[in-house]
Amino acid sequence: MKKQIDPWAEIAGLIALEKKAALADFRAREFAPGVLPARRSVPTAEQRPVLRRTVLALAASILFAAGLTALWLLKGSWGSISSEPVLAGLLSDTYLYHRSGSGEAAASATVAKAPVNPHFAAWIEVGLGRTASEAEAVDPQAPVERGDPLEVRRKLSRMIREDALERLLTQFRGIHEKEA
Amino acid sequence: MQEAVLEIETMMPPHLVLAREPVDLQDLLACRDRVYCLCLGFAGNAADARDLAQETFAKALSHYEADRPENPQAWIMRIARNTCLDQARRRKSRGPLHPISEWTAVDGRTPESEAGREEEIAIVRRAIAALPGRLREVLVMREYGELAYQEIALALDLSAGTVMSRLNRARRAVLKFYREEHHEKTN
Repeated sequence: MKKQIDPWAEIAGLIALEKKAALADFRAREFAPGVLPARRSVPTAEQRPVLRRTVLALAASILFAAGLTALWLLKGSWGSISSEPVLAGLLSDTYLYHRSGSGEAAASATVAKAPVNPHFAAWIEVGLGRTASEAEAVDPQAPVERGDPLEVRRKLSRMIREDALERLLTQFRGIHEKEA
Repeated sequence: MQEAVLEIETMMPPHLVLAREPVDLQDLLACRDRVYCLCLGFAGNAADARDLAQETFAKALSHYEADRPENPQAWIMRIARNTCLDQARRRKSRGPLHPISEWTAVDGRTPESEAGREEEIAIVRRAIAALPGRLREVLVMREYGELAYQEIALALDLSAGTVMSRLNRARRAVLKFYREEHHEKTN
């Protein structure tokens, strides 16, 4: 009669072998039961890349934020940053781009100047303490593309410098209180 | 007994030396090998197992006075298991097995047969690592820590029946994995 073999016996034998070898090594080494292993306090080679990745990600974020701030400071506002597709500019000279007709489309695309509402300019003049007559004559029918964004920006800066907005708010509040 | 206590105290830093009274430190030290094997089962490599065993004893000795466990062996095995699980959470197991040169020194086998044996052990390790946590801890405590069903039940706060059921399922899963992997290697 064939003897039935325990299927787990082979695995158990392998585990026993592993333990035997590991124990021989363990007993041969010094063991200080009351001392915490020193290597735990030192970051392991596996932990360091994680830390490095975190630092790199943080540095990249700071650089990105600094870049955006610099761009904003240089351009004055997001609106004045060119909206022309960068890719179109790069590819405009290529043969395939011209064949597909995208080149012509890109060439025909013009960067519209930031539109300035003439009423807005007048409102700023009021804020600066000037009367409507003193201010430049504003043609309400004038097309918006004729507005000068640099001029508007200059006036806005001046308005901020001279606390015109606060004065405006005070005036509005006074009017509101009177009406009430 | 007193000699054993003094022997342990000489190995400990001064701040961890316990009160000079007959405590069960000898019992604790007696399970050094079992604690190490349990750590080996959880960690999967000798270097981590050594560190974990040392950390386990450091924790046990510093908390012994406060806890005063009724069953010091089950208590330290529970500390070992928790230490291993904490470590596993902190980082993934590196996995490599003991160097083959040390195997040859133990059993006097040839390097060729050892290479095959090590590969088989690697399959078993992978099979154990692939087990769900609750099955793996029972299997490791039984096979590596050599704990009795009752001791495992005590350490894990389970019934003995649950321990046996989980152990059976864990063994079947390991066997299935081992056979499939072994079959692939041989073909």
